[in-house]
Amino acid sequence: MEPEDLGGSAALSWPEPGWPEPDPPEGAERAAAAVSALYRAQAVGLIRLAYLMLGDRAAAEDVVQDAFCGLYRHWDRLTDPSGALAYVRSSVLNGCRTALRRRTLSRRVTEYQPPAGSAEAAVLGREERQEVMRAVRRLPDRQREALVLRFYLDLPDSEIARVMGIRPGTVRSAIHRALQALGHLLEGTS
Amino acid sequence: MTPLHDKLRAALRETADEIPAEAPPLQLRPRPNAARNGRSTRWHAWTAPLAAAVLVIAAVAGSLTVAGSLKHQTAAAGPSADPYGIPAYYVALMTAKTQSDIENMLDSSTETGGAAELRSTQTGAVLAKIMPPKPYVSFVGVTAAADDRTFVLVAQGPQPRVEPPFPPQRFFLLRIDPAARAGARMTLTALPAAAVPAGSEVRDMAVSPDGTRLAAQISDNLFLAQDLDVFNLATGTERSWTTLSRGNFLPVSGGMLWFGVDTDALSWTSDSQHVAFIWDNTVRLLDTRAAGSDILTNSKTVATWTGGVQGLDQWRGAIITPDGQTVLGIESLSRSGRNAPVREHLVSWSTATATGRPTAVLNNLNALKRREFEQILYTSNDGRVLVLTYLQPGTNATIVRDGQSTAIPWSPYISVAAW
Repeated sequence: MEPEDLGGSAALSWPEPGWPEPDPPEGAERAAAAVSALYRAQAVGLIRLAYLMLGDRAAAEDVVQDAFCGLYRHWDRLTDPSGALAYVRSSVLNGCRTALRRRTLSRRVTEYQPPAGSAEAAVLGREERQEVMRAVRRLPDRQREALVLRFYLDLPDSEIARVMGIRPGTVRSAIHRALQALGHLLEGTS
Repeated sequence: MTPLHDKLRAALRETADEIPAEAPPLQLRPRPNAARNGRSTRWHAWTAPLAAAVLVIAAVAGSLTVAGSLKHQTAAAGPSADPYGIPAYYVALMTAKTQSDIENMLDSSTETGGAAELRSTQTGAVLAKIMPPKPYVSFVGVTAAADDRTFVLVAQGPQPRVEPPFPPQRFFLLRIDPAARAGARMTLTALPAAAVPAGSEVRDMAVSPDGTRLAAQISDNLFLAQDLDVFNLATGTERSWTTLSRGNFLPVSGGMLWFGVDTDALSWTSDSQHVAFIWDNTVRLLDTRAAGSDILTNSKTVATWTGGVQGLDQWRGAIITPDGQTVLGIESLSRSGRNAPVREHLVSWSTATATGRPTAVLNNLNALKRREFEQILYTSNDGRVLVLTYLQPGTNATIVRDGQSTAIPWSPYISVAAW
């Protein structure tokens, strides 16, 4: 194989330490502005989504940060900028999946203790909420994702399908199975 | 809305509210050179040999008349792939993304179907490529008769941008005639069965072994499906069974988890008269020639799955062997320990006993060093030879015979296939 032509010595030079960074190209500026705006508008909701998946605030923030960095890196490849939110939601779910695989989370999840919060404002009692969340976190990842997207974000089947990269019919199947499992789990604890 | 829905919604919202309404600052890292990305290169690497392998493109656009009637064909009519007696070729539905692509989530579009391919069981070679007739844009389901040359495909239109979320669908008959002259070896014809309107979709289907009838479960945008339809392929006439009893067909369009129509949710016995289907945790057998229209009173239980007490346990698929003696399914058991890996078994029930309990565990699928078996794509007459799909990673397929597994040449872009 022929060696790649690096375009002369300039391509091999290193910036001197302390020198100012060169101006970013216009495309990068546009991408940074768009991604930052989307972050300001959606970050809290996405961190909450990741928190529901992981039960760990710091990990949730990391996953969302990584998802937006990924969106920034791949901005040029986004065929439809209006799909950026769906893209980043997908990335957050994928990041949650990876995080769950990488650590032995089960003990932390199942022994997860939510803060006391505002007991007066709560619709559910604290014990009942913990019980539901423990059951939710025992579901298979994909079922939990579909459930959270439906019952927390209130997304329609078609949008859940888009975010998860699956067919709408499969969304309904996953939610149906998840609700069945949840019902069994909650029956077993009541 | 049920009390469970309300409770779940409240628990999720209250838990999410533990996160304060202010996010930490975003720290963007430098972007790599976009030109380094290799995804498009990988696509070209795949599409080139596939394109080169295409021998026939058959796209006979949708006519409402069926070309000729389908005659009974025996299971031995087609050529076999030694040494297992599995038909020599299968029809595979192709997707634009592999399971790995979806896991890596490189873009936000839903996985899409596309063409169907006729492939060799033995080599995996593409023998022909079948494009969906316009206005349909992709095939999303396939089922095969036992004659090795009759397939029914479901084609669907473009995904609508607004509700209802399901595009219209239509059944197409694919006939293969290896003895015909070149250019006439395949015909694709729209079946006279009514088109499935937008807002509904075919979830499961199975063509009878003699290639004359199609059992299908078609559902609208609701969780619960209560109807089973059987179409005469030649005339399009339809017979439906339903019930007012509480219950549900399962699994619904989820056997492959994320792609296509189930191939092991509905199945026929070799007499092309009895259809097996899952109803809650039972498998029931419906006599489609008998009088009556109630899906429960006109059918009998032939198997009951008893492994679901922990809620996380699942079973997938329930295929009756053509001889009618056995029901085969795959169960996933997670109750061996909170953190223990899922154990998957290939389980059989004898239809003669109908005691409810599995009569045999045919395979510990984990012992075959496979994980996440998804669908039973094919069974021999007595169930001793099977074709299963599994993820490891991406979709793969294997022949299972007497506890031994033999991988089939397979493309990760195949979503589902039928023999």
